[in-house]
Amino acid sequence: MKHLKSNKKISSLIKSIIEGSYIQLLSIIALIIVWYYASSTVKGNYSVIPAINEIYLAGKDAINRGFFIDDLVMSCKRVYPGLFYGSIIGVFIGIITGRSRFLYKSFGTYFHIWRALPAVALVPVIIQFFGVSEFAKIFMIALGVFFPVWISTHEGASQLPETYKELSENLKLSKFRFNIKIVIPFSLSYSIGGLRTGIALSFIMLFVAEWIGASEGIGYRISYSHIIDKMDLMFLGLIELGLLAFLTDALFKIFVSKVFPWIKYSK
Amino acid sequence: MTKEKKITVKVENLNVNYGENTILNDLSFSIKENEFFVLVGKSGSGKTTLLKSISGLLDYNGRIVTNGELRLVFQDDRLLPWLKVSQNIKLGIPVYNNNHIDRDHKLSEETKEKIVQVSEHLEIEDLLRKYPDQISGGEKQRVSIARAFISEPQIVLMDEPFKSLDIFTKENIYDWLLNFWRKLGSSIIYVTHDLEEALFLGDRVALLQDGQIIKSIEVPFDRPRNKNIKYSDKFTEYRKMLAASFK
Repeated sequence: MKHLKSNKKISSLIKSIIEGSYIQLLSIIALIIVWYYASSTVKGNYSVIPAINEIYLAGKDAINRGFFIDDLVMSCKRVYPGLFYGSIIGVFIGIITGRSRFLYKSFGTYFHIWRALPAVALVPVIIQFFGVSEFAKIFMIALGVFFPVWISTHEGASQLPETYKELSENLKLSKFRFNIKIVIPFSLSYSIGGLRTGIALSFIMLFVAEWIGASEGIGYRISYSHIIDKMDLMFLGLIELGLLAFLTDALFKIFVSKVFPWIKYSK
Repeated sequence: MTKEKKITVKVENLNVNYGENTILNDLSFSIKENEFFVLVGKSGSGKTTLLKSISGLLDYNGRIVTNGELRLVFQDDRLLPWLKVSQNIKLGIPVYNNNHIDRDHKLSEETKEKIVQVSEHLEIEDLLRKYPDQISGGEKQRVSIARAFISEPQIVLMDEPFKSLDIFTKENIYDWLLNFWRKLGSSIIYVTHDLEEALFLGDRVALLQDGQIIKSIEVPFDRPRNKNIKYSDKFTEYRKMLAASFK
């Protein structure tokens, strides 16, 4: 019986691999093959799109010289704190403005006007205030993350159904427990959409921040490669940045399924 | 001489208006302890409004006195989807709610025992670790009953709690509910639009129409009641008599 069960497990595992990651992996391999053959057979200007083996060699060189990892570490040191502070503050203020009509009426308008501005447009202002410091970079990223997280959390908190308020009143929940057990979890389920937009925006802001004033980081490497006319290095940076963003989003999905396991049942 | 039973809910000259519309019109009645009182009315007759007024969720004119802890079982199960079944049930425990830190070891052995007992009684002990959206509608409604009864309230108001359940699930839940009620001795005000359900469950059945009680009868069937009494002549006679009373 037990044997049968484990067989079933293995077959379902194989099935999921075939259906899921197997196809993804194949598609990546196919792209690499096409790229490789295209760059070795098609005659053209390789200073525009480099051959994939050149990018590979550039990558090997970058790892040997150390800056591949250094850039990665530096960018992580900027993007993750930015993401962290931007989302924490976004969730916190979103719940407050969602629950208090007075505070929303007082400050909401400013947030909405501010939110309508592209976050990138505020970069010169931030530089004027804080220079090109590390703080300024983290601040830019946090600001980009803040708005989508704030608005989605605010929407959630302000739409708390009357039914939950009645329940809480009938069960005589204290104000503290009403917030902990009902308001916060309900609002957080709305924050998730905003957080995913926030992750995408954080990488835009990371690139801009490193483009404008940095001597290390993936964004710096991409823009610097342009100046020294090294296309292979530029593409290497793009792949590195893309993979980092993709991985962050994937990790966030895992985080959500661990912290909010009930979400997948309520669909 | 038997001791006179205590009155647990007393409603006097209750009036509720929504703007121009009168929902409840000079309504008066009272319930004794351990009484199962069923209010029958069509939709829009003011049933839910009455329960909400008694539980203090609505503003009203008139006088309502309740004697003891009161719990409401809503028409929808109103379970919190982010809390496991056991955590949903615990929300009904007053001591637990007053504690700002919700660690299980803060609960007394007695309370833990009570959760086990209630869940065994309602046959939901296997569901305690699941989330509400992983269980069926009938199971959810049982959990919401467990949440209401865990604190052993003196008064329970039930607002058509089994409206959306199929007849087989309903009949099982009636048994659980009646056993439970007998054990706890709470007063129940049960609201429904179903005369059959009313006669099967209640000690007393009152008909609500246009915000007033138009008829009130004592149900003559002995307890415990078998579900086959629904097919008896007397039951049919009573049902017809009540149905005829509605305009």
